[in-house]
Amino acid sequence: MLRKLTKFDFKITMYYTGKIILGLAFTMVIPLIIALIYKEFDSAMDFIIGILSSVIFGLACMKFMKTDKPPNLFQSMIIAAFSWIFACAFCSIPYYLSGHFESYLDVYFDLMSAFTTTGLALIKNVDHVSNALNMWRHMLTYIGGQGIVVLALAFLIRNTGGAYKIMVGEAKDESLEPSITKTAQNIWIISLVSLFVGTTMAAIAAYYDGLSWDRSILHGSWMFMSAWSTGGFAPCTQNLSFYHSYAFEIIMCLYMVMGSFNFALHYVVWKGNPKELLRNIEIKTFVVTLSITTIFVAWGLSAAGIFTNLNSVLRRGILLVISAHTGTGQMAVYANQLVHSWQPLAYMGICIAMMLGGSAASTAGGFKALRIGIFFKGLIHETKRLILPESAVFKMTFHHIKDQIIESGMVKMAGLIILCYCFIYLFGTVVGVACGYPLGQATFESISAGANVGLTMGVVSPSMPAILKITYIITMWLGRLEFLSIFVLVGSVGLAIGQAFKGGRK
Amino acid sequence: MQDGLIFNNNGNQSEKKPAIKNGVIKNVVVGFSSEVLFALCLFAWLVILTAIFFFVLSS
Repeated sequence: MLRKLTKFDFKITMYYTGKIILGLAFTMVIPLIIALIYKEFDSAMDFIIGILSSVIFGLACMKFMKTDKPPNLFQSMIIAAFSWIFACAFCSIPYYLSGHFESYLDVYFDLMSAFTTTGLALIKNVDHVSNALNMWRHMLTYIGGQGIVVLALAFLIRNTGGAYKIMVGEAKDESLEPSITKTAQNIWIISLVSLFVGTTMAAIAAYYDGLSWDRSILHGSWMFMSAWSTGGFAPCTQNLSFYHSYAFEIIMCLYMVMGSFNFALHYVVWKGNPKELLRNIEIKTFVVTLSITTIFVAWGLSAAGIFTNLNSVLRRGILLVISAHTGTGQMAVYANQLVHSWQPLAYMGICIAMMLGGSAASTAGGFKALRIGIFFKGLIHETKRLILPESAVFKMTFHHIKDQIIESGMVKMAGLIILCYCFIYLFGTVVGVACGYPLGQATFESISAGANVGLTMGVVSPSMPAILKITYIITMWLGRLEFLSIFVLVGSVGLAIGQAFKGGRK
Repeated sequence: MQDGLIFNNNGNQSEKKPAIKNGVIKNVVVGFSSEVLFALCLFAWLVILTAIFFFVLSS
């Protein structure tokens, strides 16, 4: 029998959503400080309005929906999916008031793109955005990368029995410690240490290349947040090309790769077990698939003779492969170059890299290396089973933090999620083609949105049809939360509407 | 025994260092450096792969 939505489900969902919104309100203080330092008083007012609205909503939810009961798995899934919708709505206030967007739909698109660490942007005149709003855009990708529920768990929700389930709903299902609050805190410690080191490295590179010291720090922190959270936003239209710096590009590639690692892997390695890097199934899969896609791109670009020297192939082509495979979306080529100059094999290599994505429980999107590894091991297992005598007993294992036996349920689940991703890639492509875009561009953009990458061939722009914007918003959301929690939310709401409709007819 | 306590060992007085804290910092530094090293080795491998294809197909 299907589980029906009750009043208590609604109450507990709003209570935890209120807590999460309250947590996000505190983070708006940082761009407010930046606005005051740089005397951007219009932006400061936008953020004050945003903070006040979020605090009032958060406190009201916590006061009027108060409950001491922990959520069960069903409620946790709804909380995870629901809180993302509300988080986008409240965090959009400073965006909307900034005047850099044509409509509220464009604002919501940018917000979803930031939270899901996609990096597709509809913002206008990005080179003249205030420092405060730039800080907020990049902070949102950083927060979205770690998970907004993880943020709330780390600092606001304590001693909650159902907390782990909410985190599972947000596709962060790795438990680093027996205590879930400790797990969430550890995810944030790893990210904050990396933020400090990464910003310092990027700022030094930017300063050395001619930016003033304060702009170096700002650009360093923004580009680090964009790379580490595999987001892809940049404070300039030219994205990575703006810096014209080899050192800066290498640092960004470094953090794209590290950002795409599983948080559980970071934790084990940082606990004094660096050998895990060489044994982990996700890393092995990632190295193999990255090598294959690099071969496609290197082959395609070299055969076409687009670039005359190896340096250009590396800085334009291979950087793009790393950016695509880690789900980042930072670019050192222009969308027009991709459309007109890139050979089909290189284009296909980038599409495959985007589809595959980084590690599970990381900031990256796509199929995820763990699922690909398990799926292929499962295929080998099934083939062996057919070849060997029926009486043969054998088991297949993989190493991810510890040695684990591959069970048929794991392979089935991995296959199902991969299938769901293929479906959203296809869905986005169909809508894109229906809106009049060429098949190649529509496919590229659809994969980029669904896998939360952010590379673009020029389809994503403020002038694209509203239906395509809505499609990409949905595919970004589905791709980031990995389907299940959204299916539960949609199913429950559908059931509730059905009940109400039946009740009305009686 | 707690960190920083002074205790006697066969008449010799010694101070126990905050070993746990030092250990954590050391582990973080080693872990972070090994991730950076791993990523740099990966880049070197990608450069080799690209160079092979570039020089073979361009010539």
